[in-house]
This record gives sequence, C-alpha cells and structure tokens, in this order.
Amino acid sequence: MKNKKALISMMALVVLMTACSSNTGGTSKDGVGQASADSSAKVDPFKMPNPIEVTTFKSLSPGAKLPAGDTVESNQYMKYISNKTNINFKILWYAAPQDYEQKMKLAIASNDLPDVMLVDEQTFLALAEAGQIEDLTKVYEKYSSPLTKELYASTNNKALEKASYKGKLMGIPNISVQADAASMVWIRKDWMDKLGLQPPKSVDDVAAIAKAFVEKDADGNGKADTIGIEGFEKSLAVNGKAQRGDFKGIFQAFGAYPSGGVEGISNWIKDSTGKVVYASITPETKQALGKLREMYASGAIDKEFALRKDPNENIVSGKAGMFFGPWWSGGLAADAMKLNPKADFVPYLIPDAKGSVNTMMVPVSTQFIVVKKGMKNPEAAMVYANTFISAQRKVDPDALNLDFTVSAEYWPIGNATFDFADAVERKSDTLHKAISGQTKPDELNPEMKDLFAKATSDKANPKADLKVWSSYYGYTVPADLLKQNMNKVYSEFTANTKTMERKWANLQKLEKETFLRIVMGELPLDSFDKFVADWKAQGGDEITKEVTDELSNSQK
Amino acid sequence: MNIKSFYKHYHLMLLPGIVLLIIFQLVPMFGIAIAFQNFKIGLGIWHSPWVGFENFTYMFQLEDSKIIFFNTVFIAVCKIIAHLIIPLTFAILLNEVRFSIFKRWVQTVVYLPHFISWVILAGVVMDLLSLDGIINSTLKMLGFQPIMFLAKNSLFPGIIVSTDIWKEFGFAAIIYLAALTGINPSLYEAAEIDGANRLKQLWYITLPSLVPTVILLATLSIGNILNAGFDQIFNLYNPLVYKSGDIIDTYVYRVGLVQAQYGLATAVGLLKSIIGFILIVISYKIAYKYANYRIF
Repeated sequence: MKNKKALISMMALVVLMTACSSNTGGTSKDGVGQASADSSAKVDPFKMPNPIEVTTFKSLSPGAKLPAGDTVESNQYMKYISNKTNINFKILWYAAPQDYEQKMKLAIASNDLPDVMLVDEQTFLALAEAGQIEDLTKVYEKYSSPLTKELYASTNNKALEKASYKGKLMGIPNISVQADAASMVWIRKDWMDKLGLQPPKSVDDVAAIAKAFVEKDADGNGKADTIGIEGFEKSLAVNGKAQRGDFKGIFQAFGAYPSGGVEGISNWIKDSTGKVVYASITPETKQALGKLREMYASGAIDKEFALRKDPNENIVSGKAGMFFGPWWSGGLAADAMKLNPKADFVPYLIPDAKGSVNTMMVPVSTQFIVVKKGMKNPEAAMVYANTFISAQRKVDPDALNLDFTVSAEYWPIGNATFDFADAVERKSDTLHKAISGQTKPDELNPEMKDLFAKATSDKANPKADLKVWSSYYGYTVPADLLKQNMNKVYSEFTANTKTMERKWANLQKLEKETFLRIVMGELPLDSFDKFVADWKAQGGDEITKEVTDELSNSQK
Repeated sequence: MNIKSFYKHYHLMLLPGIVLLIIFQLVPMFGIAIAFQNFKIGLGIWHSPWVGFENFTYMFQLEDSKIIFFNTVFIAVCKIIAHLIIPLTFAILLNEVRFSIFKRWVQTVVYLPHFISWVILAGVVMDLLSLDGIINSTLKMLGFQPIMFLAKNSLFPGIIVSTDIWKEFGFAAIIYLAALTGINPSLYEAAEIDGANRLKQLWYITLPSLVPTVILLATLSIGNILNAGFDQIFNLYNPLVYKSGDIIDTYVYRVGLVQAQYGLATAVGLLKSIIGFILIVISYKIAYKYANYRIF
C-alpha cells in the first residue's frame, strides 16, 4: 500500500515538473516518451516481482565513513534498495578507487564480470565493442520511470546517445549538471561605477574595461599595480567545466574551443563541413589567439598569468578587477569581499559577434551502469536506476528518512550523479518563486528550504555573513544568466585512441608552448599555421583518423 | 670467541637497515621490467605485453629528448662547478674572520635555507622575481625596463643555478670549514716566521691542504651529473621555459604520471640510472686513485 502511495505522489510530482520545465528539445529520436505511458501500467519500474540476487563490485574511498554498526554489505542504502526493489545486491568485492581500476580491468580482461556494475566511458566502449554487456534498449523502453525519462530529456537525449553503441542502448548513463560549463566574466562593479564604465556586451568591451582598470588605477592606491583580467598557467584552455581564471569565455566568443595543451582536455568539434576536427587547429582558434595577443600587449591581461599556478591570490587581494569563472565563483568573490567590503564582483556572459553565447558543454555522461551479457534479469539495472534516481532527487518520501550525509558511495553499485542537466536553473526558479511568495516555504524540499532560509536571512541583513551569502548567491544572478539561450557545443569525442596514448603528450607540449608564446608576443600570430602543420605531421592526422573511425563505428 | 660474539651484535644492528634496503630498494627494481613493456595498469607487470626496446627507440626519436638531455647535463654541470667554487671561497673568507661570534652567526644564517623545502623557497623566489618584486622595483627605479625573469629562456638556467647555490652553499661550506680547522697550525706559525704574508699563507698552505677535499667532492659529484634537481625546477618552471628548463625528471613526471605512459617514463628513468651508475663507478675509481678515498 505504502509503495503505491509513493508511486502516485511521485507521478504527481513528475507531472508538475514537466509542466514547469520548458521544451525538451523537439529532436528526440525515439518515441519512448509516449510508448511507455501505457506499458508502465503493466510493469512496476520500482520493484521486481520476486526477490532476486544481483552481484556487483564497486570502488570505495578509504575515507568514506559509515555510522557505527553498519557495514559495506548492510547499511541504510543497501536496505533501502532491497526493501524498495526486491533486489538483493551481493557485493563480490570492493576496493579503493585506484586498486578498483586495476582489479576491475583484470576482471574484464578475464571476462569475469558481475551482473551489474558502474564503469567509465572508456571501459564502457571497450565492453560494448567486445560484446561483454547486454543490450538494454528494450529494458529502457519498458522499465524506465517517468522521472528517469524526464531526467534524460533534460539532456536533449545526449546522454542516451552517449550510452548507445551501434544504435543499441548498451548502458544506463549518468547525467552531469550542465551549469558548470558556462564561463562568465566576473567584474568589479564598484570599479566600473567609479570609472563610469558600462557593463560589457562583447569581448572588445571586456578588453576596454580591463584596460581602463589598469590605466586609470581603479583600486586607487596610487601605484600602477592594478591587473585587468587575471589568469593562470592553464588559462588558454577550454575545459568542459569552466575553470576560475581560464579564458574560456573569450575563446567561446570566437567560436573557438582549444585544449591549450592542458592535461586531460581534448576537444573535438564538427567543422562547417560536418567533419570532426581537433578544436585547437581551427581558424577560429587562431582568431581568438590573435585577440588575446592584442589584449595581452595592451596590458588588459595580467602580464604574468603564465607563471601563476592559480589565479585566486590577486583576485582575493583586490589587485585584479576581472576574471572568468563558472556560476559558483561567488565563493571567491566573498573572499575578496572579506578583505575589502567594497569589492563587488558581478558576472556577465559574453556573446560572440553575432550575439549568441557559445558554450562548450560538460560531457553529459561519464559513468554507465552496465549489465553482463546473458544476465537473467537485465531489467534489474533499470529498476535500480529508477529507485536510485527517485531517492537521490528526494521525490520518494521514504528517501527523506535516509541520512544523506553518509557517503553516496555506499549505494549498492557506488556513486554517480543522476540529476537534471539543468538542475541549477531549476533550483534557481524554485528559489525565485519562494522569494516572491508564489510557492509556500513548506512545499519546498529540504535542500531548497535551506537555500530559501539563507536567502531570507541575507535579505534581512545583506552580506552580514558572507558564507550565507555565497552559498545561495549562485542561484540568483549567475543562474539567471544561464537561462538565456546558449549555443551548446559538445565535444564529439571524449575517450582516448591508440596513437593518442603514444603521441598525445608531445602534441600537447607543442600546443601549450606555441599558444602561450603567441599570446605573450614571443611568436608572431602566423606561427599558428606552422603549429597546425607540425601538429598534423607529428601524429595529429593519424589521431584524427582514428577518432573519425571510432565515431563512425559507434554510430552505425 | 670473544671477537665473534662482538661481531654478532654488529650484524644484528645492521639487520633492520638491510631489511629496509631490500624492501624499498631491491624489490622495487623488478619494476624495471615496465621499461620493456607496453604497460597497462589494469594488466599489471605480469600481464602487460612485452615490447622489447620499443620504448627506448621511441625515446630517442622524440624531438624533445635531445633538448631535455642537454638541459639536464647543462644545469647539473653548472651546479656542480658552482657548488665547488662558491662554498670554498666562502669558507676561506669566513675562516679569516677573527671575531668568532660574528663568524658563528654568519655560518648559521647562511645555512638556514638548506632546511627549507623548495616548495616554500620557490614561492619566495617567484615573489622576488615577479614584475613588482624587489628586483624589478630596483630596476625600475634605476630606469630600466622590468624583466619577466622566470619566462625568459636565456635567464632561466642561471636562475636555477644561482638560487640552488643560495640555498645550499652555507651547508656545503661546513665541510670546507671542517677541513680548514684540520690544518696543522704549526704550518702557519712556521710560515709566519719565514715571513709569508696572509695571501702567501693562503696560496702555499691553505689551498694545497684543501686539494684532497676538493678532488673528493668533485669526483663524487660526477655521479650527480644527471640530477639537475627535480623539486626545484618543478616548482619554478612553466611552459614558457620548457625549452631551457625541462629536465629528465620533470619530463618523466609529466609523461609518466600525468599522461600515464608508464613504459616510456620508466625507460627514460632507467637510462638515467644506468648512466648515473657508470659515472659513480668512474668517479669512485678516480677518487680512489687521486684522493685516496675508499669505501671498500
């Protein structure tokens, strides 16, 4: 009885959410949304009809604590899942993340897989290619819960595409929050007001403001030590997650998404002809580097950015008036404010020449739940995912009894983010509605209630407690910026190829050196063309071919 | 009988050291196998495919390897020479100071940086050399253009060598000071009676007495010719000075740990160890012959 009630209340919630959220992208390829409405009447997406045992293994950080008396095999999460779903997970073994990697790969190599497990993208692709895992297309159609579908719809089905191999859904992908992708320029509003400057609408404006900060002694200490835009040694890279101090915002305003030779980043985009290319060798990248070079020469960018290991110091101390960062950079602004109460950083998004804001997105999915080929009840994975999601999103009232301070790694197959791709925007909307009185505080979930309380207490006494301010500020002005239409760019390829293992380090070094030298004026802008030729000759062409092959492999 | 039990104690005391040596020095040597493998973490040493000398051939094909090798040797040789001359000069000068409290004070202050790690000292050095640091402020006051020291390939090796000397010369001088006190004072008394002035005493007594120490230190340091100082350079360098500052160790770190090419990194490290080993054997032979220094 209790379960049915939970189900009904959840359905109601989901309907509400669908009503609130905007379009889900008309391009949805599969008609899954409509088809399952009637089929879900027959199957219960949250419970197996009979108790079953499912084996798995998982990674567990040594520091993750459990309440006294609980064990890895028996704790609140394990009990919750077995009560809710009838699935009894049997954990074959667990290990610390690094050891886990090794042991898991060994298990894969000897085809000694558990029924269900959580893997990263590279492992996922390898498993799919080797045919070691089960096709979940039908299971997804039949068993995915409305909330699960809603979550995937919020990614414009990008997540499901990622989990597909040769047209078949081979895993249940996780969903990362996309808000971290946008790169905003945070500018000292108090300095702009002091010098009578207008908020920026283009990269040129940003450059002009930065130059004015430097030349007109914006901090007013009488010394020529003011910095315009602060950066650090990894500034010339466009990371999926915007970094504090990178120049992602500037690159994107030119439609450029270079990796800057920074470890762990490789962006592959479609060029105008639809071919997949390495984003660092495009003409747009050259254009953006040209602009950065000009800005550096004019003094708008910190002269020593390439020598800095992190950008925070000069921002906090009030020397720098501008930096690029994600929506959650309010914490850094709060640190600056602690030293100087007047410091007032305000975020802006910078559009390209045509007026649209480009953003290289975070890979929607980085982890995949996979099922061993030939497992008897592959739907168990979907049932588990449904239940895990409804608990994590706290739509199941019973989940509220769980103590979420216990590390999520203790969930039967480990931790992965399953959230709305636009979770930050959603929370921001809810917060706005609560503040304007449209929704009553009692109707908020615990997380939102806490945010609302912080917002109200800060309103009564503005910026009295900077910790309170910085913990909710992100959901106001910065999150509102995220709601505008953005031209979302995804890296087409995020794994590694064979030649990359060998030659990537060298190519990255070449790129890093060349880019920094161009921007700092040690090399002419046209040496970019030589870089492109060298890059191609020293293995780039080979790698591009491998990437293209691998992409066409997984798509058709 | 007596002698035997006497030795037994000594051998027992030696045991913990030997055990540590086996666990931490000998056992890890099996990891050398990685240099001849296409090492995959998941497969481990036992299952990774063998590739023979492929890692080594690849290493020599790398465009960067020549630059890196040159940088390593260049910086290390500069450091070795500077480490011989500067502490020696300093020790001789300090030895001439008659005011003993001042002498002790200087000695202590000068060798303090030896105990500070490069992580901290690099921060100090970067601050001194930054665009609004003390050195550039002075340059500006004198009417020169400020210089970005740590971004200039022409200056970077010099900065590495001089900051290393600044950190270590006080400590190195202790050995020379000890050698200086070991010189028989009657030699100086005799020289004085013969009418030799201080310079002549320095030239005919002090320096010749120090020659064995100098030769010993010089030959032993040859083994370090491929150690240009990882922690120092790692904390001070940046992509702009890879050309002049990237050494074998920093390269191995970046390629091996950051980019996870364990096979290649191990091959580079192994080559370094082999060359280092050969040089140590040679230098020991030289030290044995000319400075009468022996371990065995």
